[in-house]
Amino acid sequence: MSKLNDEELKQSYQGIMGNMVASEEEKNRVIEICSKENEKGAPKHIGWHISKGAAAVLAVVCGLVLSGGIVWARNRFLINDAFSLNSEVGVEEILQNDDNNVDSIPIENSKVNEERYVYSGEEFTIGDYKVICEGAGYDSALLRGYLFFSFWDKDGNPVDQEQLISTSRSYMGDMTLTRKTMSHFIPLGDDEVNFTFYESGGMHTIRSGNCLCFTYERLSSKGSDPAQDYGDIKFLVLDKKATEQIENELQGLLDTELLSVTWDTEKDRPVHNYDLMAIQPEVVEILDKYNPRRIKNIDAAPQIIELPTLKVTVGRLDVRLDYNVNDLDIDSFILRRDDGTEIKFTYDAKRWKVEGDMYYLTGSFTIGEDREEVYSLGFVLGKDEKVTIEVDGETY
Amino acid sequence: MDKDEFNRIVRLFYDDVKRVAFVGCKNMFDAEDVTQTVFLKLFYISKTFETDAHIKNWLLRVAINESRSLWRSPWKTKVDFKLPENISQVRNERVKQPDVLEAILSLKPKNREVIHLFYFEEYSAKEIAEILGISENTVFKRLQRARDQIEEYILRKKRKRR
Repeated sequence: MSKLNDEELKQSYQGIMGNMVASEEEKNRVIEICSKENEKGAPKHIGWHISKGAAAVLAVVCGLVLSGGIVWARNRFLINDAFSLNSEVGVEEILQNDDNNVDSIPIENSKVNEERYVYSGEEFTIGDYKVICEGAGYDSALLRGYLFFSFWDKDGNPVDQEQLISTSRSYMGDMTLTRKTMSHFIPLGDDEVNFTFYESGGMHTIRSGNCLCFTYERLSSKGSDPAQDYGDIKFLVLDKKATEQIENELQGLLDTELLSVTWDTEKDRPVHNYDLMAIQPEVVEILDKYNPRRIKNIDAAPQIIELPTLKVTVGRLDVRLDYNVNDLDIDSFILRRDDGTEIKFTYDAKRWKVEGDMYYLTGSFTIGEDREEVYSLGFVLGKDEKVTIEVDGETY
Repeated sequence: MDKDEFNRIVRLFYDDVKRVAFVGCKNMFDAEDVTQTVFLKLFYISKTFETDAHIKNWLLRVAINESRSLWRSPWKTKVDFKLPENISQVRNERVKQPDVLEAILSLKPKNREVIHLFYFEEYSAKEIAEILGISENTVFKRLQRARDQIEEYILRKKRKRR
């Protein structure tokens, strides 16, 4: 075949997949399972019936950000595609708005612990770079909010605006850039700016002047509505030199389809794109070399510590907590590395407060009547590094 | 959800959900698990659906998300797949390109989802965009990229056989 015939492709695919027909027994089994589940009673939930408004309230309440070693409650999203610039809308109005015709979003504060909104058109400063909130969206069917920002260099030239806008509509994750986090990598000015960026499903980059910030892994998490897909983002900021090194190291390892990083000499900025879902351990390993902790144990099995009401999975790149919000009877626990550094988790008012030395930030939250919560955060372990866990004063 | 209505929906959409789950998971065992999970979620969801099409869209979306969750697990990034025999050996007058399924399953998840929704479910780009929460433009791009890769895969297989 010299050129794939579209109709041939369709017919062949339908011809094969059409054969994938489940037996009546298989369907009956699912019906039976659901009936039995029903007889047992609906699963426990966290105590409120979710509506669009309630989801919004919960989103506001449950939104968490791990930043600088502490978790702050924060406001989040609820807007519409058809935003207009700089119009102010209050929280109540947003929450009561069922037709989603709202054009501003509540978002992380510009000063720590001070809640505020970000409005379409609003500008922020991160170091020498200007960040503009270009707009935001809210999908009522999927209860999904998103934001997008454009980045501008100090000379007023747009940086990567096109990509940000074109990729900011897929399922939602969030990324939080804070001064503390950013300052791991790039020098920042005195302005303290935190904001949330709702990111697309794919690997995403933000180019900020001659620095490159990119996300490189997303973990799954659960939402109350399974169609609502929350994810966790990890990110890393690289300078030009590191970007070039990555490019060199990845040469020959991956095809350009999977990942390409090039430096645009004309614009003096990196150009790359890659696909999150296709990221393989080798790639992560290369990217990780640029993390201070230099992760090497790519294939290390996760440490799993199962407590009666909490399962803690300490992975190579993160810690994942699985628990039922109603059953959790733990007030606090500590994860302690071999070198004595630790993260302390305190559970209060149905949210985690986290203090300690975390390398990167992830955020994951659950809203609505979901039974289980999954919470993940960056807690990077070095090669052969293990953690011990201390729960309410007792070591496991 | 009302039991009779639930039974009707299972019978009506089970195969569609399982197919899209299979495309996502690339193996029948996980696909069956995902399918079961999807219908359990439907059973418990307090959501009003206006039409069967709405239900189907929701089911497919949830199945895609559930399948993605499996693949996002850091320790499940590399899993080989094996096509079930009753699928891989299907030959009928419609199947002019028997390698097409294998080719599609070799694509990245996001591309195979789009291909499946377009070629099997015969959704329009607009509908796919709505289900996946992406722009139509992205759908077109993914379709084009996926077609190119499928073609390349099939050609490569043919060359190997020679």
